Amino acid sequence: MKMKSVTTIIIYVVAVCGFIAYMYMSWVPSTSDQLRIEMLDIGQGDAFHIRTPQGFDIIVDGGPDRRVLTELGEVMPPYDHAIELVIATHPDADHIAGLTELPDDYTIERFISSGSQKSTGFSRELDTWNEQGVEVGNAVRGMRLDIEENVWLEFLHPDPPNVHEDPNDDSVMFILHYKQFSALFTGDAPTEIEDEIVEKYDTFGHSTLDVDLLKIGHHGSRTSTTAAFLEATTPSIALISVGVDNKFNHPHAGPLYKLNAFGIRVFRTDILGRIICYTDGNGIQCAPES
Amino acid sequence: MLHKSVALALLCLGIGVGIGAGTVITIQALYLIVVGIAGSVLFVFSSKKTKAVSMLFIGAVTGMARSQFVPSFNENPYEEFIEFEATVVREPELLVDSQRFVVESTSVEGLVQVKAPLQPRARIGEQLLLRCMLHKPEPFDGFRYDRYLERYHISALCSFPGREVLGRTQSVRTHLFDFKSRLMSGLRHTLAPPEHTILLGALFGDKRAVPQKIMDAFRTTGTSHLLVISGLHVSLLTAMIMSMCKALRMPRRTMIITVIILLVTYVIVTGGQPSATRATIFGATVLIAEMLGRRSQSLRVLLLAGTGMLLLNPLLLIYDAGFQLSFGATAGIIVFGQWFQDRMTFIPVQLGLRSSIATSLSAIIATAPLIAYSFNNFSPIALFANTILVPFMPLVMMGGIVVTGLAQVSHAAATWVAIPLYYLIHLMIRIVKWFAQLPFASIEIPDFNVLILLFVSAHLILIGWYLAIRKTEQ
Repeated sequence: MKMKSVTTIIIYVVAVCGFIAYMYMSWVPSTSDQLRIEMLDIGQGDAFHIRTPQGFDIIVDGGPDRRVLTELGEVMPPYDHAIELVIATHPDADHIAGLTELPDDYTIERFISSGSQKSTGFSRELDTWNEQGVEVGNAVRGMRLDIEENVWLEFLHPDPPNVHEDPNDDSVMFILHYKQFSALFTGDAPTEIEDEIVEKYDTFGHSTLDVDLLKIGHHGSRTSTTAAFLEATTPSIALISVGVDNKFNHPHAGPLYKLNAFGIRVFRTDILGRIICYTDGNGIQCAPES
Repeated sequence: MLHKSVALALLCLGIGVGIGAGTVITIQALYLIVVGIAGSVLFVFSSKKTKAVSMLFIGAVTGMARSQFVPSFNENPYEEFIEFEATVVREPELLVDSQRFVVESTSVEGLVQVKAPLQPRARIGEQLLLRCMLHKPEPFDGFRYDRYLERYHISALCSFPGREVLGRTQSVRTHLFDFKSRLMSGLRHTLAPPEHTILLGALFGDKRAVPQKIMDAFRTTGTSHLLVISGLHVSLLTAMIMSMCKALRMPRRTMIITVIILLVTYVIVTGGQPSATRATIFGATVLIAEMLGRRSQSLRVLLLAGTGMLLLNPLLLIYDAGFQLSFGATAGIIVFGQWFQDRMTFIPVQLGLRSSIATSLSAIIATAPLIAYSFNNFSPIALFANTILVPFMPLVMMGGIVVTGLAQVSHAAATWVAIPLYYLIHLMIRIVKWFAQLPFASIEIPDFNVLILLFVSAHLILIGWYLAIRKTEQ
């Protein structure tokens, strides 16, 4: 009897120690010296999570549905339920429908959009966010948003009051800076807007549009990614968020051909699933989630 | 004289057979009356053996008669575009890209299942003005979707309607729904997804919360019962309540009453969902019989509860896999559980290992034919997976209850208390995923038809009967 109870105690102690070791090995520290960009695997649409070295969470678009919640749960630390900044590049369902689900699981502090009011459902949701104390604002060309030391966002588009009929044309475009590293997010901006940005980039404070990472516009559609844009932005890595066997046949051959011609390494969610990129402020490394 | 427990078992069995037959074939009322009278006469004037047959007969006739009184909804304005006022009567199920809820309206017979965009979220008691084409549910790929929905009185479908909110009625039910929503929201904001989805399913019965990939892994490994309110959860809850009652030195009778009251409250708070109600009825009846020191009565109580539920809703028998599996698993545990435990002396008793394996094995044996028939697969690793994962559940549920309660008081405190719970569920999901990717984690059995199901089930019932009789004799 005594022997049995000793065995039971040993089993309990081993189980508890094993569990503590598991927690220790799986623990995600709240701060680090690296900035992380994650292209979430949410099907046909866009959803990105950026975590800064000081633990500031930024969501850029939320994909078409609730899958974004599971994805965020897997990339954010389990003790962190606050998203400091949400950016909706434009009000197409494949970019914003998932955002309306975020308040189910997370507290949102600030929201920035293009200001385009295409979706009445989303406008209604935004009113609710506003009532709940979320700071709601619009992106404006030339706006700089300091996130923390060495991390800031620089907005390139839209350029009110020049409002377009197609919400894609008013996609929020911004550059994320961390020390020497920079990444350009483009929403679904078409070639005309890319041309406009290339033409004007040095008139609103940039010496160059040179970035390390480019989020390819409109899921690799032929309506985005001109050679001139790639030449101006000179990324080494391109991210394409696209659904498996999507009905639009994204990404199209044209943009893929150009990316290949420029020697840019492409990461696609339809082939690789969730993509995680790390930077210490100099280089960038991307890989699919194992 | 036919023993009354045998007579009762035969009667229940007869009712089950009758309901099963009556659900798939239509029988003239006159035949039923004649056969019923013949059975009664036979019972009164016959020998012991014939009495047994006549008992089965009377049960079958009763079951058949009951199954003929299932309402039909043919008068509804199907395939017409209509505008109607309706009230949301069941909480919405959140799918990946849409929500599904059930409404009641004076313009439609039966209930209407509405599919709508995720936002704005429907709430119980909400009065809506809906505009849509009303569709009649139709069978597809051999699956009787119409009867499947009809089992919960759903007679029509309405997809992505024009929707206007007219107001919201206030009732005890709406307050309970709001209370449950608040509890769930607290849990969601405290524990990260997808880990919290396991608790939303296990504690609140939100079976759609769990992401599809994780759900598939649990299905492949034969452990999906951990994701819904099942008999296991009810027995764990009961054990927790009993421990508290014992700590408070409550007398036995007070303890039983407390357990019943708290279980009923739990079912009401979870929204009175059929699956939770069923699991609670099955789980609680057996437990209470055991608590009263009448373990031998468990099977009888279960049979009575199951038959009662079938008499209330005959469609459950054929068209509700959840009912079949719940009943089968509970019956399997009652009949085979102790028998396996007595023979598994080579397995250590520490940490309840022997009893856990015996219970899992009993439930797996009893439900395997149903799973093979309904889902055309069988998981050879289900026993191993259950043996490892079931011991997680008491801790997971206890942690979930503590965190849910604490989140209502202090979010910060709850978030930190939730961290070990998060990693516990995280580990559980990793183990399931690891099991699921093993070769032969799940074997497809495409040809397991109804005849094989009946053949195997009949043998299981006979073995169970034999074991029950032998136990009584001993």
